[in-house]
Amino acid sequence: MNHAEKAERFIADKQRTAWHDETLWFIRSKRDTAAQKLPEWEQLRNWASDIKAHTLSRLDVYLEEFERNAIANGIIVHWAKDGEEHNQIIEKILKDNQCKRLVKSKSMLTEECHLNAHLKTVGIEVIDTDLGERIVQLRDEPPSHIVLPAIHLKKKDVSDVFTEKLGATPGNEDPEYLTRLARKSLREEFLQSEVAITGVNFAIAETGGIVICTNEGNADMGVNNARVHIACMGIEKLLPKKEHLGVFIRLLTRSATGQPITIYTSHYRKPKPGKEMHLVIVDNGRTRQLASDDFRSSLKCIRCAACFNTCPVYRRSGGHSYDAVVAGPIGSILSPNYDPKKHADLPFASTLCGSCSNVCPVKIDIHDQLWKWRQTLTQQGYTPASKTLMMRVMAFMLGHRGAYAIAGKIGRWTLRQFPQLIRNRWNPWYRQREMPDAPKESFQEWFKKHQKI
Amino acid sequence: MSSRQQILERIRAVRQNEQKLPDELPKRMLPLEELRERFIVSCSITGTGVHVLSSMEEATFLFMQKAGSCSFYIGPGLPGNNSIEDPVRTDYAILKGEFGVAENNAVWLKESSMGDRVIPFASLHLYLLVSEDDLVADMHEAYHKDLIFQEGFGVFIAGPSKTADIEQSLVIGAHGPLSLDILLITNH
Repeated sequence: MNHAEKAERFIADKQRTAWHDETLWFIRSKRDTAAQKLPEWEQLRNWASDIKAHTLSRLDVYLEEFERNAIANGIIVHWAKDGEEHNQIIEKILKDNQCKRLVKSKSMLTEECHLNAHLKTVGIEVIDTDLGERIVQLRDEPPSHIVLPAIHLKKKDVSDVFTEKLGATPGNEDPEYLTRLARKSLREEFLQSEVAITGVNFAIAETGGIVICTNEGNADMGVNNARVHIACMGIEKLLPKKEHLGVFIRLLTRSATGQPITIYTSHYRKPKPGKEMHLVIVDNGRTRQLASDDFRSSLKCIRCAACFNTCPVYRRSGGHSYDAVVAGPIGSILSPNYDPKKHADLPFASTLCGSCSNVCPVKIDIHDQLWKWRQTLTQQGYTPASKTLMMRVMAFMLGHRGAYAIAGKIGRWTLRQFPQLIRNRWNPWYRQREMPDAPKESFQEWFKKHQKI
Repeated sequence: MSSRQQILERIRAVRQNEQKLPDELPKRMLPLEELRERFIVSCSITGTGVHVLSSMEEATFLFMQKAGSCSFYIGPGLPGNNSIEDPVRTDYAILKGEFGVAENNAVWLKESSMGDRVIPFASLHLYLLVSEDDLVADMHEAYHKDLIFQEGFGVFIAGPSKTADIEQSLVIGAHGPLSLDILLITNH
C-alpha cells in the first residue's frame, strides 16, 4: 500500500482527521508565538545552519576529536557502519551484562535500526519509557510522529490499552489518571533495570560529552538508576563546541512545541564511578547522504518535527501513512536514501508549498529536496509506469503548441458534451472536487480576438 | 578495515571545502532588575513556584516546613546537609543550583550538588536554590560559563516533569518530580 492508499484509511474517520489537523496546527501556532518573541530568531536559524554546515564539512575531524575526548572521560566508544552492526554491538553489551530486560528513552536512531525487534528475537525485552512511546509500544505499533509519538490516538484508545495491559479502570479516560498509572508502572521498570538506552540530541566534540533533552525525565530516571548507560547517535549529531549549544537549545523546543526549553537538558560527560557508559556512533547511510550535493543538508536535521506540524499533507494523512521511521516532510527526504524502492512514493506526498523549509530551524531546503528526489527516483525507475507515461504525455503536450491546443479543445468539448466521462468516480481527480464548467474558448482564442480590436 | 576506519574514510572521500563557522556568538548582559523580573515570568509559564528569600537559612527553613514529616534530603553546600537514606524514595529534596537563566527559568545543577545523580529526578518534590546574583539572560550567556560540562554530569532543570502525550492534555508530573520550587535568594 502506498502513502495515498494508507492516507485514505486515515481520513475515513473525519472527526479524528479534523482533530489531528487542528491539534498539529495549534502546535505550529505555538511555535510561531515562541519564535516571534525573539527578535533574533532568523539570526539564530542562520547560525544553526552555518554551524551544522561547517561541522558536516569537517565531520571526520570532529568525530575523531569527540572520540578522543569521550575515551578520556571514561566512555566506551563503538562504531557501527549500519543498523545491523549497531544492534549487534548493543546485543553484546547486554549479554556481557546478563541483561534480559531494559529501559529505553526516545531514540529515533534505535527505531531506524529496528533495535527492539532485533533484541526480541534474542530474548531481550525493551521497555520504552517516554509515555507516548510506551502507549504505542503497548499497542504494538510504531510512533506516528517523532516528537509526539501517540498523536494519532485519542484518550479512549489510551484508556483501552491501559485497561488491557496495565489494569486501568475500564472507561476512565482522565489523562492525569492514565499518566500516573504509567508513571507507577514505569518506575518499577526504572528501579529494576540494570541497563538504560538513550538517544543523543547533541554530542560536543571539544568536551566528549552528550546532551539529552526530555520533558518527562524518563531518560535521566533510566540512566541514573541503571549500572550501564548505552547512548546511540548518528554521526551527524556533532557540534564542535559547547557554546554552539546556546543556539540549538534555544531553537529546538521553540520549533518543536513552542516551549523555550525542555524541562531537562542533561549533560552527560563521564559515567558515575563504578558504572559504565557506552556510546554507539552509527553511519547507516549517512555518509551516502553526505556525498550528495543535493541531499547533504538533510543531515543538519535536529528532529524538532516543526515540518510535520506545519505540513498540510502530514496533518491530514497521519504519520502511519508514510510507513517510514521518520514521517512528514523531513522523513520524505531521508527515507528514500535508505530504501528508494519502498519509499519512492514519499517525495510525492507533498504539495511543494514550502512551509516545511520556512519553519525549519536549521534551514534545510526540504521542499527543494522533495522535488529533487522526485526527479532522482523517476530517473532511477522507481516511480509507477503509469505516472512516468502520464509525465511523458504531458511533457509532449506542453512542449508542442499544436498538440496543446488540440488537447484543450478536446477537453472543453468532452466536458460540455459528455461530462459524465470526466465526472465519474473512476476519475481520481473528481473524487473530492467539483469539475469546472468548460469555458467557451481558451485564453489564447480570447486573446487573439481581443488583440484585433 | 574496522567500521570506524570505514566511516572516517567515507567521510574523507567526500570532504567538501570548509564551510565557515559564524563569528563569535553573542553574550548578552542585562541589568539585575530585568533579569529577576524575566526569570520570575518564565517560572510562571512552566508552572514552577518561585519564592524570593533573603538567606539560605530562610530557604532551608521554608523547605523543612513544606517537607513536614515526609522523607527529605538537603543537598551538599546547604545548611543542614543530611545523608541520603534511599535516594529513589525521597519525598522532598532541596539542592543548590549554580545559576538560573532568565529566558526560560532553567537552573544549572552540578553533579557535586546533587548528592546522588538520581535525586533531582526521583524526588517527588524538588526545591532548587539560586542566588539572584547568579542569573543570566539567555542560553548563549549560560553556555559561556565554565561550569557546563565541568563535572561528569550536569543538568538544566526548567520546571516540574511533564507530558502531554495523551491527547495533548498537559499533565504535570511525568517520571520526574511532581513539583518544582525555586528559592531565589536576594541580597537587597
